[in-house]
Amino acid sequence: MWNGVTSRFGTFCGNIRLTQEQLDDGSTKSKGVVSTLNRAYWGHNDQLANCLWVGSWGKTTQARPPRDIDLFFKLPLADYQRVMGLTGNKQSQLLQEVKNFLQLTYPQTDIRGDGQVVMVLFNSLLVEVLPCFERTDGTYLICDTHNGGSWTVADPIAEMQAIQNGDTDSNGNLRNLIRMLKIWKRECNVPMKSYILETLAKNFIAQWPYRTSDLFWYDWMVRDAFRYLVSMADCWLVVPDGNMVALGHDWLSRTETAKGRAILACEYERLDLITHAGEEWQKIFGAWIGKYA
Amino acid sequence: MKDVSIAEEAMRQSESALYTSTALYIWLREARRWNRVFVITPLIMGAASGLLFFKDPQNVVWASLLATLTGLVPALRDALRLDIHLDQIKSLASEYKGLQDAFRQLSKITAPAEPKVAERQLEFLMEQLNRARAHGVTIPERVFKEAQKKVANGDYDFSVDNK
Repeated sequence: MWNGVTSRFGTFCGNIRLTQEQLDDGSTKSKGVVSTLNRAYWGHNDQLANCLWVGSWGKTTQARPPRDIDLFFKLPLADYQRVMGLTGNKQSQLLQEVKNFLQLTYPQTDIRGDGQVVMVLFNSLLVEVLPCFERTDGTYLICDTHNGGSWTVADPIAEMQAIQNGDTDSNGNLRNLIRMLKIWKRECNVPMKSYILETLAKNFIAQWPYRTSDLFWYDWMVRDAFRYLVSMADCWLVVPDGNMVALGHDWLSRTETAKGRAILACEYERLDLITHAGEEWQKIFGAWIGKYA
Repeated sequence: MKDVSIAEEAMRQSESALYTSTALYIWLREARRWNRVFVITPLIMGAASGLLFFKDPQNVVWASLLATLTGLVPALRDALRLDIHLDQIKSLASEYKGLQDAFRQLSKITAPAEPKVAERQLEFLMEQLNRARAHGVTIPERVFKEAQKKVANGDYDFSVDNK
């Protein structure tokens, strides 16, 4: 019984974690960007200072292949006063300024300002820079260029801390679950934002009775996670920065399909029908998961 | 959960499933008997009603009474949902019987040999058991007592276990 689970999910989790090469590539690119901005705003070219990885790289929940790195770049407070003195859409002008600095270092690279971020489109990776001002309570002010421009308060540390706590409490299973769900989201085109999926995964694992178990229980973890997601349709979710988000149900039918497949795959795993189980898992996760364990 | 307690818990559940499945089978037998009564009685009464009338048309009162009862009994059977209950009891009885064996195998075979698998198997079987319990079928007390007596008499003991 369940002879294929440990090796199948062990390999799967390894397959979707970023390789050292990909991590190094992301790190190099972000260091280049940070160094440029430090030179422009802080007068030195440190590759790490004033930078905070947020999003999946900050939470270490990135799944292969890497798509983008989100990074907060802290600007000096003096610049806040300067920007506030500008006329027109201040936030848009700030993004434009950051974009122009980056363009000097990367003249061949496509760089765009969009909403809250400056996107640096490298060949292998997209680096999204969010210029920000640190507040005294540890939160950050980020730009929003829409509707004439405004500031938005973001709390990426709370998000990261919530994932870190959930992962510690679940013996390292939360991050694996999040990566698996992200692969499902991508493979099945599930219309759900990654940070919502992460929060749902965190809430699910906090109440899952086998959360500290090892890979041997991963088939049930995935099945029960889908059950949980289905039960959350049309509910409200409190995200780590304290805001309430309506989940809606656009994603429900794909989740129900995945749930049905996972239930079937679990039954095959129990009966050691390893290939049959693999076929069902592949309908959820694509070729990232092995058919033959 | 330690493998020893898994084995003990599985044995406990196996015993519990044995009592429940035995009671359900006794109840099933009883329900089948009643079902037969409800099927055959209107046939006999219908025939008797016809005979009475053809023998002597003066017997119209008795004949009509029997004819009325003939129509009433199947309606009563439907109202009591006896056929549905029969199916439910039958499927639950076999489910509990299967669970009884599965828990016993878990306790005797899987738990001592593969504790890790045993832990999952116990959870799986408990889920199945809870699903069976969710039907909310209430076995009559006298039926359960009868089942207890049967089990205590050793009707379900295996000679291999007594060696």
